[in-house]
Amino acid sequence: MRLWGDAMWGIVRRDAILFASYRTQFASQILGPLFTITLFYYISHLLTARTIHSPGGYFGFVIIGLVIVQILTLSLGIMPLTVRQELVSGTIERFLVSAHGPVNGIIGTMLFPLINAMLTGILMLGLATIIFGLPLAATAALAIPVSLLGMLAFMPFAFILVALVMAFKQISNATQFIIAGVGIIGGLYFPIAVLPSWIRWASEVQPFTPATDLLRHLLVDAPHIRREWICSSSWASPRCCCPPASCCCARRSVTVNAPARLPSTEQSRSRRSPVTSSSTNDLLTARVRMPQHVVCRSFVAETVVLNLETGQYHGLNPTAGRMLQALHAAPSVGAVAPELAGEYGVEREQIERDLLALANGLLERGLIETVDDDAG
Amino acid sequence: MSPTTTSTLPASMRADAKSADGLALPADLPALGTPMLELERLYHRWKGPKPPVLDDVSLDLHAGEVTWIGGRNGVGKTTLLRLAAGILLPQRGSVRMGRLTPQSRGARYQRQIGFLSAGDRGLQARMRVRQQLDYWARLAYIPRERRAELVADSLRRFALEELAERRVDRMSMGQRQRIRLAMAFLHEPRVLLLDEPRNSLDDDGYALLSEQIAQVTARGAAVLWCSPRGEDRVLACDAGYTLEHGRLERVV
Repeated sequence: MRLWGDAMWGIVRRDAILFASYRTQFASQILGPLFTITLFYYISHLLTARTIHSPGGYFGFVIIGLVIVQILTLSLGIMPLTVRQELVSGTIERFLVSAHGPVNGIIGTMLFPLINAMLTGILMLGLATIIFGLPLAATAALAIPVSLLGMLAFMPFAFILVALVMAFKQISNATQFIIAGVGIIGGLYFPIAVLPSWIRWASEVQPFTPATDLLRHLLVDAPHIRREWICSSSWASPRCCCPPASCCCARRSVTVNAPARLPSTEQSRSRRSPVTSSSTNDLLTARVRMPQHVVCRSFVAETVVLNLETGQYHGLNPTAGRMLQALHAAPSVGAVAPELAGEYGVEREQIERDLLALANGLLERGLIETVDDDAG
Repeated sequence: MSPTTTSTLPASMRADAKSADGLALPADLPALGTPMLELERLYHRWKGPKPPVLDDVSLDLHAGEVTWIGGRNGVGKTTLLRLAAGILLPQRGSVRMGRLTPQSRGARYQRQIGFLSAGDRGLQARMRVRQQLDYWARLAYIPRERRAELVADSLRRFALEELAERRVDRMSMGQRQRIRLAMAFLHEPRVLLLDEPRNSLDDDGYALLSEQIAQVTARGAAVLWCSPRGEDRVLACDAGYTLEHGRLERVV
C-alpha cells in the first residue's frame, strides 16, 4: 500500500512539474473564467427571474454553475487530453511495463487534474466574492468535501472518456458534448424547473443536479430541497463504481429513489385523494407535513410558501402561517386546535373549521401532504 | 556462460531473499538451473491478410546470459519483445518467469522486467533527469529507503550525473537514450528486454551499455537484445538468433 501510494504521488508530482513548466498556463486558466464571471455578473443585472431562489440573485445562482463547468472542463476535459498526450509521447508505455500497472497509472493521471480543478474552483469563488461581492454562506467550507464526492461521482464518465481515447485516439467532441449536456440538464445555468417535464427525469438520474443543489445551499445559502446526507449518498456512493455499475445504479435511482425523493404530481394526487374525498374526521386525525419540494419562509407580514415543482409562490396571512407551522409539527390536524384556540381566544370548533379549510386548500395546491403513520 | 549461483546475486535477486517490497516472492521465481524467462510456442498475427509475425516461436532466456535476436525490419522482433514484456498478450502460447506470468501476476512480473523500447519515446520531455528516474523508481515500486540510492547509482552508471538537473527536451538523442537505458536498468530487473539499445549511442555510450550488461549478467540477470544490425552480433552474446517468416533460427 505504501509503494502504491508512493507511485500515485509520483504521478501527481510529475503532472504538477509538467503543469508548472508551462508558465502561462495557470494565468490563462484563471483569466478565461474571470472574464466569464464578469460577463454573467452584468447579465445578472438584467434578469429578475421568479424561479431563482438564491440570496445573490441570478449571479449567486449562476456562479456555482460556472465553477462546476470549470471544474468539469479541467477534470473531465483534461483527463482524456492527458492520456492522449501520453499515447502520442509513448510515456503510457511506462505504466504498461511498471509494477504499478496501466490501470493504477491511469487513475493516478486523473488525480492532478482533479486537484487542479478543485483549487481553480476555490479561486474562482474567491474572485467572485472579492471583486463582485458574492455573499458566501458560513457553510462554504463544507462545499469542499461535497465537491470531492461530486467529482468522485463523475469519475466513471472520465473512465469512459479515457477508454474511448485509448480505443479511438481522439474524442474531444465527446467531452464537449458531455459538459454541454450536463450544463443543460444539471441546472448549472438555470433552474431545472424551467425545463419541460419530459426532460426533467434526466436531471434526476445524473449526479450533478443534487450536487449542484447542495453546493448552492452550502456556498450561497440557496434553499435546499433535499436532506443532505440522503442526497450525498444517493449520488456519490453508487456512481463511483465502474461505468457499467454506474449505469445500472443510475437506472435504479430512476425506479427506486425518484418517488421517495421527489413525488410526481400523479403520486401526490393519489396519496392525498383518500383524504380530500374522506370525511372531515379523517382529515382531523391525519398527520400532515410539507413535502420536500415545498419551501416555506416566514416574514413579519406574511408567510411565503414556494412549490418548487410548479415554481409558484403562495402567500399566507400571519394566522394561516401560524396554522401551517403548527400543523407541520403536530401529530394530527385536530391536535393543534386546542392550542390555537387558546392562543387566539376563539371556540375550538371554529379553529377546527378554519384548520380544515386551510389544510384542504394546501392539499389542493400540493403544499402539504398527508403522512401514513405506518410509513412514518 | 555458466549458470550463476545464489552467492553471486545481489540481495534482491537471491532465490532465498525475503521480499523487501512484497512483490518478489522467492517461490514465484524460477528455480536455479531453469530458464529465467520461457517463451513457449508464441503465435501472433496482426490484423489484415498478412502472415503471422510469430509462428510457434519458443525461446528460453537463462540467468547470466545475453541472447541476441536479429532480422530485417518488420519481421516481428519488437512484437516478440512486447510479448515477453507483457505489453501484448499472446494469441497462442505462453510467457512465464517461474510461476509469474504477465496475466496472472502482473505487478510481480513487471517488477522483474526491464524494458527498453525502440526509438526515443517514453520520456517526459519537460522533467529533469533526476526527476525522471525518481518517477520511474516510484512506478517500479522501489521502496522509499532504496529509491535515492538506486537513482544516484543509475545516474553514475550511465554517466548522467552532470546532466541530472537538466530537462530532457534540451538533450541530444544519445543522451536521451542513456536516460532510457538507465530507467530500464534502475530497478535491478532479472530480465532485460532491449529493443535496439544502441540507437544514437556514441562509442562511450556503447561502452557504458556493454559494461552494464556485463555487470547485470554477472549478477544473474538474463538479457535479450534485439536489433536489425548484424554488427551487434559482435557483442558477447551467449546465443544468437535471426527471426524470419515468423520463426527463429539459431546462428550463434
